[in-house]
Amino acid sequence: MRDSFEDFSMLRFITLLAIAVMFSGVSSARAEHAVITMEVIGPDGRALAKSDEEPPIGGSLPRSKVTAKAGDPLVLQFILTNVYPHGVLKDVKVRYFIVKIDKVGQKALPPIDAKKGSDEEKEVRGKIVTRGHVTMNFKPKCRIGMRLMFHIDEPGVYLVRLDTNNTKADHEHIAGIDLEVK
Amino acid sequence: MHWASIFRLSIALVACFVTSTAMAEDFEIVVKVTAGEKPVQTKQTRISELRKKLGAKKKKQPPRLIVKSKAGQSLTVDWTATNTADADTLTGLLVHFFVVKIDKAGQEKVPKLDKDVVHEGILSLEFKPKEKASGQFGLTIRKPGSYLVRVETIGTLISHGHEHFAAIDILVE
Repeated sequence: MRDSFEDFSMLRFITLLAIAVMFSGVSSARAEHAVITMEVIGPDGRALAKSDEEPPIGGSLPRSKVTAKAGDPLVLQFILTNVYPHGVLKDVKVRYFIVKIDKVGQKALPPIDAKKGSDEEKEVRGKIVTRGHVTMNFKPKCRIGMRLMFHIDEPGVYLVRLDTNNTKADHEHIAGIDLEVK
Repeated sequence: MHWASIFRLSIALVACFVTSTAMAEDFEIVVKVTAGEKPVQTKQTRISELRKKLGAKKKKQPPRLIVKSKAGQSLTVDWTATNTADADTLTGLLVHFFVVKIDKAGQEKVPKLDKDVVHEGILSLEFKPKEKASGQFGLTIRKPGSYLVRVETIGTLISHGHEHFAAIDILVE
């Protein structure tokens, strides 16, 4: 059951890569900056998110939601394609994380970073399921793909989020999915 | 050809190559795994070459560094990939990184990434001389066993005759 679930996830990952290629072609014509396709897959369903922008905080699109049981094996995968055609954006950070939030659809982000050794650090750490980032020079058509497995033991509502940072534009690109763990 | 097809083809090609023990001078990959307060880091960027090109038997690899951790413990992986060449721009390069369960620590064979993959990522980019990309990710492994953390290039085989990689093992108890 678990192997077939992972095989399925791999297939989905490859499919997402193909989708990203198609989307990048379409979006170039619209002069977008980044195209994101993100998915959370669990045994009981999956949710797909597409590119949104920030501001406004949390983006303007409603987030899709997926439900899982505590301890379920879950997969997060995404493809981000830079379709900004006008040169290099230096030291862009693409950040992804899963964090506990208060309610479904919550726009405000909870604190993600805290000073090491501070009182706040423990609290922040306790809410973050996983996190990661990649820093690179964004050149036209560069892409990032990611696939990771995770579990959540504590019931609650979680935000699965991907965002760009330091693109030196008046907005950043984001994608988010709400994950409700029962 | 679709990027996805190239991706799959590249992965398949890399999987077929024999790894030599030579050290790379044109590309550097640094991998650091932190479990608790003690990081383990390797700067040993090795290269994979075609067996036919080497014309030699498979060479034994020097041992990989091992990080011990407990099941459920939070781990952090940091990596940096740098084109250390003075003049060569690497176009269409993929930087591929993953954490996958292996049969035992130190095993040379890289398993197929079709199951027990804890984390996998890939970047497609162009590296000018001295240019670098970096990343960090956290993971928690619940299932005891040995895991391979590996960061590798895909796409320099044709131009350079080899690929580059750096790797560390995680032993989850």
